[in-house]
Amino acid sequence: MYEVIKLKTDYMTVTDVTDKVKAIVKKSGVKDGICVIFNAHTTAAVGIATKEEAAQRDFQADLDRIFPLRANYNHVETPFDAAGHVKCVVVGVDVTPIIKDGELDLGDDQAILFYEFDGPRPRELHVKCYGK
Amino acid sequence: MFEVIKLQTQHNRAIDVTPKIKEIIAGAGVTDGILTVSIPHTDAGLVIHSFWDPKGWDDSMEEIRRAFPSKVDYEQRTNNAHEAAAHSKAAFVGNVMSLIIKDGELLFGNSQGILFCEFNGPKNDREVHVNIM
Repeated sequence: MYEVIKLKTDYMTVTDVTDKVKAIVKKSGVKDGICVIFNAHTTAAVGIATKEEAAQRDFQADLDRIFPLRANYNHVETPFDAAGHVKCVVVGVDVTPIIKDGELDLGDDQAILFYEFDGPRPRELHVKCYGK
Repeated sequence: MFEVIKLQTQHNRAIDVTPKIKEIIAGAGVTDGILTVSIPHTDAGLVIHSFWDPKGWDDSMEEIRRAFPSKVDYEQRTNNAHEAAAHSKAAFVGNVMSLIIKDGELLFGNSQGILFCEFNGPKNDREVHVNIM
């Protein structure tokens, strides 16, 4: 089973998509297997991290500190775009949590997060459930 | 189905392995499934990047190098400082990804490509492992 989650983002925001993914897992009827969550954009990322929103903002701020916006990137577009590509590379665009007893096997504090490094933009997140 | 891609690399350069992986998918005959790509190395990385502008790959490699400078006072003992820093870079960017195969093709955005990032090297015995189910 395969579905697309549609999002509308703002610059450097983090969107918690856990509930949307959980709903797809439920609908898929998969009891034991894996769930691939894939971001098809190159200035955004997907990850599993704490559901606490302040910590999500801290993470974006830390990324900005490590990879600050610069005007002299080799890739000549906006600094937001150039730095976004770097952030995308290091954070990653796919996660594959386990489906166990028909539910996502996540810790109580864990959330599936969509990271926007450019934006505001319409975005898509692809979800595929695989198993029995 | 499992296949191995062999690579020859240059120090601190990224290599686009997308065409080879798409070839393997086409040969596998899987219409809907999961593609897992991994590398068996601890001083290289596997990432998804925009493939349009190779200068953008250089940006990423440079930024990662800036974040993890090759320094001689790492606790680990390695042949050279690049190798020690490479271990940190590899741990940071990751070495395995699971992707979606839909309608017989890799489900990708129109500018996405898979890059092998050489943080050590040059090496002539690098591998990318590809599994399809």
